[in-house]
Amino acid sequence: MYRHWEITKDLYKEQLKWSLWLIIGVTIIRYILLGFYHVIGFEPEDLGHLLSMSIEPTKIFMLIIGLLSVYVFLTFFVQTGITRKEYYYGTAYSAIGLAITIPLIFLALFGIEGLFVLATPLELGYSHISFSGLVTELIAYILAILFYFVIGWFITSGFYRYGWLKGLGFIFTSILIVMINGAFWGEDIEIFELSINFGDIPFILSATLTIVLTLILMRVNRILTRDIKIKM
Amino acid sequence: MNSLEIRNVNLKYGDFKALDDISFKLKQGKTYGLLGRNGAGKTSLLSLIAAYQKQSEGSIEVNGQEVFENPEAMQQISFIYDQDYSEETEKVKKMIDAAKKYRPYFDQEYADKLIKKFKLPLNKPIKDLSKGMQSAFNVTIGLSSRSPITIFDESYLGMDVPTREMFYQEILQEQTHHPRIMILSTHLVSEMDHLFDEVIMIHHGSLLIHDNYEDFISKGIHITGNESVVNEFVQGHRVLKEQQLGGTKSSFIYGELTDHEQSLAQKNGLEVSSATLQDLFTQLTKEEDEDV
Repeated sequence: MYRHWEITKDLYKEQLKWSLWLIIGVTIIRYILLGFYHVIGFEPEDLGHLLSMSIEPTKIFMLIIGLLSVYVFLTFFVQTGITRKEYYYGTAYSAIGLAITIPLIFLALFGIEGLFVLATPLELGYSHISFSGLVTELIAYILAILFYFVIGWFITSGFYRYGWLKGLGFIFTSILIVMINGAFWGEDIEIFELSINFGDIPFILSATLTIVLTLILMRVNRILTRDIKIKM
Repeated sequence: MNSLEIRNVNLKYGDFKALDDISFKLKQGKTYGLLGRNGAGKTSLLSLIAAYQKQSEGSIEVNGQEVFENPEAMQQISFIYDQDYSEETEKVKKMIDAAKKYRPYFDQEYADKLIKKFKLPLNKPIKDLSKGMQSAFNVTIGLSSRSPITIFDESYLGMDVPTREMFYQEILQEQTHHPRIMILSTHLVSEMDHLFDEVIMIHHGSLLIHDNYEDFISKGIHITGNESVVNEFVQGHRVLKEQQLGGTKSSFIYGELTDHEQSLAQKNGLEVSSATLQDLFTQLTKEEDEDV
């Protein structure tokens, strides 16, 4: 009798509650910026729409909740008679759920905003947005934030299992992995004076490479936590 | 009938052996006193039973099923210990609700009774509770979860005497009405010995004693009387401690007296008295350079 769906539900609900602060925060900051764009001195169009504007803060949010996932939840669950395997699947599934839900909420808010913007003279560059572009952006968003969660989970699993010194090794490895993942999406990366640019990679290939990297990290996280000693 | 069986368990950290070839079997309805000096390996052993870590060798089984990473077996075990709550911002009520959700035998009515008894403030973050209150909270979770195997490891820290007394009363009541395997690890030996049905003593990572409480303490005997008579009488017995005042000597021996020896002691005017569990524990686990 495995209870990972129950754990998935509970973790998803708890973390979604945390994410409301992110969603409310990003939305408020957006409208403050839009309200004072002429004072601050930028074009509203440069701010991007809500979906694209929210991706960076959401990446950080997912990294943080990934970092919390072992110290906060693993200890609690094992203390409560839950196995590490149930915890692992609960954490993985809830992260996937969250990585889909958060962008969809931003997308919905973007849609609501769109209705209001039509009634104002504000130019937010909506005319340049295509449906396929939006779908691509949404998929890239989901993959990016899930990847960041898994990175946070990887770092914290390393710290929990091996202590702070070896844990630092997990941070350095993560920085490297984040850079490599960035290169999959066309970013220039420089590692020890070695400059790498994969050039213009098709979206489907970038997405596949990030999925593969995320799956590998998830597998590593399972190996790191499957017999981990619980801190008392 | 629930059972917990530990067979040839070893726990190694590199070259250090924290536990060495431990074996014993525990049965439902009994309260076990787990005794050992600081660093003897008590908490290591309990953390293995609760699947907090995996033993290096041997097996730990609940009702014939290996415990580690087994959802059925892990649900049967509650391990209550002195946790660091300095950063626990969750409120008492939320933590009790979580136990209710995940602990299959949790009894809300009993939890409510204990909350009232220990005067636990439900809406206070756990980190803001006093040490004694945090212990009362732990004990409330442990008792009301009604896990078939419940372990209390020094769970009374910070509790005042009346609260500790309430805790002991609850253990006795529970064992009468909802018998489980209860393991109590403690340093307050003389205060808690009345709760024990059996005694498990660990020393330097090895099992020193696993015995019925009454049988075990009956093996600790103080023989007091004339020095030469006492010396003659204790020959062939394991002497744990000797004390002398003038011509009177008291020897603390470990073992059983035959009927013949009992009547011999009486005939020679020797005073025979039973030892306490604390006496036995102190003497059996003292180091060579210690004088206690």
